[in-house]
Amino acid sequence: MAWKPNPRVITKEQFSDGTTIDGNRIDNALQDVVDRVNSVPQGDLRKRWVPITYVAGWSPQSPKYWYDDTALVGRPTNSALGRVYPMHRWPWMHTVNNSSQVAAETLGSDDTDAVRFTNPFRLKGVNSPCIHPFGALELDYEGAIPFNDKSDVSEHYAWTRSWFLEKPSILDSIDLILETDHASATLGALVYQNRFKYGPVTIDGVTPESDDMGLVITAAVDSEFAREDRNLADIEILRRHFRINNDTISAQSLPSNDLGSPTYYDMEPPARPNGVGLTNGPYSLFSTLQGVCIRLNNLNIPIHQNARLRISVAIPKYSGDVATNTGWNHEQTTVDDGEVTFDEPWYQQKMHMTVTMLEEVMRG
Amino acid sequence: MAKITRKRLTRGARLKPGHVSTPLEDAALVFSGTDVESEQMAAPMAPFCVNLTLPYLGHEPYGGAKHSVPFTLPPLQEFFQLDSSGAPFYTPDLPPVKLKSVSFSFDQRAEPAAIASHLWTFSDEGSTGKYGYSSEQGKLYFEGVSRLMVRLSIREKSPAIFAGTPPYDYPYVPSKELWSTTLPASAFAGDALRANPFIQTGIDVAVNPYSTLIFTMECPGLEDMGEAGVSDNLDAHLVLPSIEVSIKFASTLVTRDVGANIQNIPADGGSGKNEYGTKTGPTVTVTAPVAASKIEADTADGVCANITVIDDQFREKLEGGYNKYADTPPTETIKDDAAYDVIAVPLFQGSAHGGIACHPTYLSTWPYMGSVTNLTTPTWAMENSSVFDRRIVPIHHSYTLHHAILAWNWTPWRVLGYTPDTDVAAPISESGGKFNYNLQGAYTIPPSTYIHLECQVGIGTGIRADNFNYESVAGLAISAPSGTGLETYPSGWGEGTTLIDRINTSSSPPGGWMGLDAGGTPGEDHTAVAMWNWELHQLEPRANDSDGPGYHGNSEPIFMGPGWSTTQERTDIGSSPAAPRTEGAEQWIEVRCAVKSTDAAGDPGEEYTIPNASTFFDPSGLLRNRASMVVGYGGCYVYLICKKTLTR
Repeated sequence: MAWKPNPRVITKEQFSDGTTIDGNRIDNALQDVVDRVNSVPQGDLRKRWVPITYVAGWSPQSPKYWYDDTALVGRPTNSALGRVYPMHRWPWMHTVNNSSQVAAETLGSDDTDAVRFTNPFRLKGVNSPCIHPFGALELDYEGAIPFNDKSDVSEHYAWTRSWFLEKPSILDSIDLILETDHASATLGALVYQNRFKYGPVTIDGVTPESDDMGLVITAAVDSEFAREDRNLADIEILRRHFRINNDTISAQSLPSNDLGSPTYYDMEPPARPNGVGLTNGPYSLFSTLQGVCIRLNNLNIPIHQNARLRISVAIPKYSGDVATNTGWNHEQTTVDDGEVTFDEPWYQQKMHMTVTMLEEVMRG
Repeated sequence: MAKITRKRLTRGARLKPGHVSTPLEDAALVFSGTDVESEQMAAPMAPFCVNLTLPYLGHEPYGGAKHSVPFTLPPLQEFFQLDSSGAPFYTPDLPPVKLKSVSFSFDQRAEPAAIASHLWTFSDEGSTGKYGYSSEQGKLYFEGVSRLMVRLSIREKSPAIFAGTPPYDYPYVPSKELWSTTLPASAFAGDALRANPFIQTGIDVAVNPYSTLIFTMECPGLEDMGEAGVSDNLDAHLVLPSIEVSIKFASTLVTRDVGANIQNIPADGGSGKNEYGTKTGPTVTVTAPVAASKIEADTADGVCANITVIDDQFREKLEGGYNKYADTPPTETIKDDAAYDVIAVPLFQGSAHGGIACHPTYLSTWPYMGSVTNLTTPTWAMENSSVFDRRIVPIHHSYTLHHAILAWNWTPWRVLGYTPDTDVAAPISESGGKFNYNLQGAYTIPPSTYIHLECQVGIGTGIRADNFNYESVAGLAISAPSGTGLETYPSGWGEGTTLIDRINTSSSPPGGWMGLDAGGTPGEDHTAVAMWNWELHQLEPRANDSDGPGYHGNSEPIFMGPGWSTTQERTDIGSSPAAPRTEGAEQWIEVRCAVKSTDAAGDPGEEYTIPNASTFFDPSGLLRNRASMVVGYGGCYVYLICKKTLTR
């Protein structure tokens, strides 16, 4: 007998020559059809997911504001005198938890305090060249006794977003844009200048002046059995050790504004970093979109129900000679102790992050 | 009515061909007619979330550490109806909206601890200044976790616009609480388990889509009130960093937008050319046996063959929605393959002081506004620039924009947490001396007609692409945030043109002025009034038609979705219809917002920078001396009310 298709999904009843076609079986089969057509299970929909968009971002305090003021830098000291200086770096916080990361004169700030840190390293797998959060391993003059002075050799600061996902979801994409100003911007419009390159001094065999690799993006789901132990978290995404400049927004040499060459159509209010083309109304001194866009798309990562998802971005804060660059760190002169310091990586770009999750249609 | 029925085969009934073929033909018609409705689905609703974010919440707002964000969930255009009096008209087919769950989180650095504020002054050993940038910022404070009691709530009020035409004699305060909960400090203090992120599920509260909803979070313990009777300036202030709120709703699936009247919609797709998203049903043929013929199994009109025709549809899965390239399937069976969506886009967050204040010392911390060259004897070099922010939102799926709503924030706050005392100099020591309170704060809506707001939504293409271009899709431009001062009632910008609602969630709402003489000087009846700390305004989608359903008129929905070669050709967009400049390759949504000051003729000039804008309260006075704010504490939002489609 030649093969013929038979119902596979809609009913268990099978009808073929040589079998009975009685009322009961037909009744059962038709009821199955009616039930299925009148109450289509979500599994029968080829597309049964809808996107949910989580947008975040901000323009940080202008580093130009205090960078220009070479006479009175020294932030807390001047703040105590009633002067306004760089204010905050929220939401960036150190990735390492130890006694030096406890507010001074409070429980845990002294090594002898009876505080056990649950997560000394709160982001699993986050590291990059030129950064050693464990501190410097040094040998004494006899070369016999290694010790760790606990002082950081550069560090990461992280911005973490977290959600409790009640339903099974799919992590679809993470888009992170670090926006800078156009290099040709004038009129006080050259504010965010991160060039995402190392400076003239590097360690770990990194080529000086090469593209920076200090940015890390990670997504992790807390362990079901030890929810507060980050060591046991499931890493869903870990992007590290990549050349940030390879993710530049455009390989084209875009003009600073839509009137430059090549021209483009802009929306309102238009970018006017050089103050051209407007005779009516103050300028908006931002530039054509510049910087880097790290696109983690089509991820298709299933996240189980009742998951605690944490998406973190870690940026480098270089110290010592490695900090001598004009990318993540901005040079300033500290008058109080006569040292030149490089600081404030969180002020060197505008942040934009969009997370897209897919969730299933629901019963209501 | 797409559900099907059948005649039951009762015992003893004579089996006729119609018993078998009629329900199968009905089922076939459902599929070939692309008529699978939401009521036929076991899961007839789709989730959408209002996702709010805040880089940090501190103790600076007047009234304490509390932050509210209003939003509204207006029906999609085809369901949005007002009656002749301008009140909402609830049509029978208006999709219900249910509040399902609320998720809340902040960053505790993975420890059972509170986080020290940038205004922390507690530690003698730390390098801490009274006015910020404490060296202890962001550090753990284990003992402080006991102060982290957080209260969350969602309240509701009826929008002012439904009260008629201005002046709005209308309460600004929420009238009803939909949901609330209190998280005790112990929820964040456990070693082995903390409710961070927190979620409450199963709320299932029906929501009036025409209402204004207000989400509020408050954590009074962030402010260290100090020891009673002791003024030692040692304050262990706290913050909640990186707050994420996800308010989940569910609404019934609806039909997607199709037709050439939808702006920027792909002309072509999997179903053919010039279809504009219109669905094509599959060919589903049930062959009914002729009357009085035998009922057989395997023949072309047999039971097996006909059931298999229906079975094939399920086996191949039911089609609908768009793929990631704004393309449709060749044939579709699902009628209701779209759903309500909100994309909440934050603006003006993360500013140096929590909000943006007018005084040059504060304003110059915002990018492009200028700099302070000497703070001992302050000298400001202000740029002739607008206070500007933008947000880039990459998109990977298809949406049609139905409404765009701006939530503008006037929440007053104590800049730098400053309260007058006699021990420490105030941040601003200009002209009035160290205790000129008018210079220090941000608690007045700018009393100036020279202040203008422009907000636009656009779509862009050009990330690692050949073509770099934008297309505008919605916008607004309004002026005089505090009215003209001549009104005899509290007034503000956009009244009668864009305004939807005014909301007060603060125990210390911002101040405004009204009842001035026509000359701009205080008249006999001039009054300082308490205003509102949030406003909702409608951005008008770029028009090809201005009489679409909406609070203030609307245009046809606008399609936004990254296309490929098949879906590159799009319908025209705009009031002077033209092909979209993004050429069907939009990669991101961009929201831009600028506040600027010009003279009456709209001309810029140093004398009209925001700090130097003239006030109507005193024409010779400047905004910088009026404790005015540009943006309230916590920044603003633009809500893109969209229709999204099923995808995978």
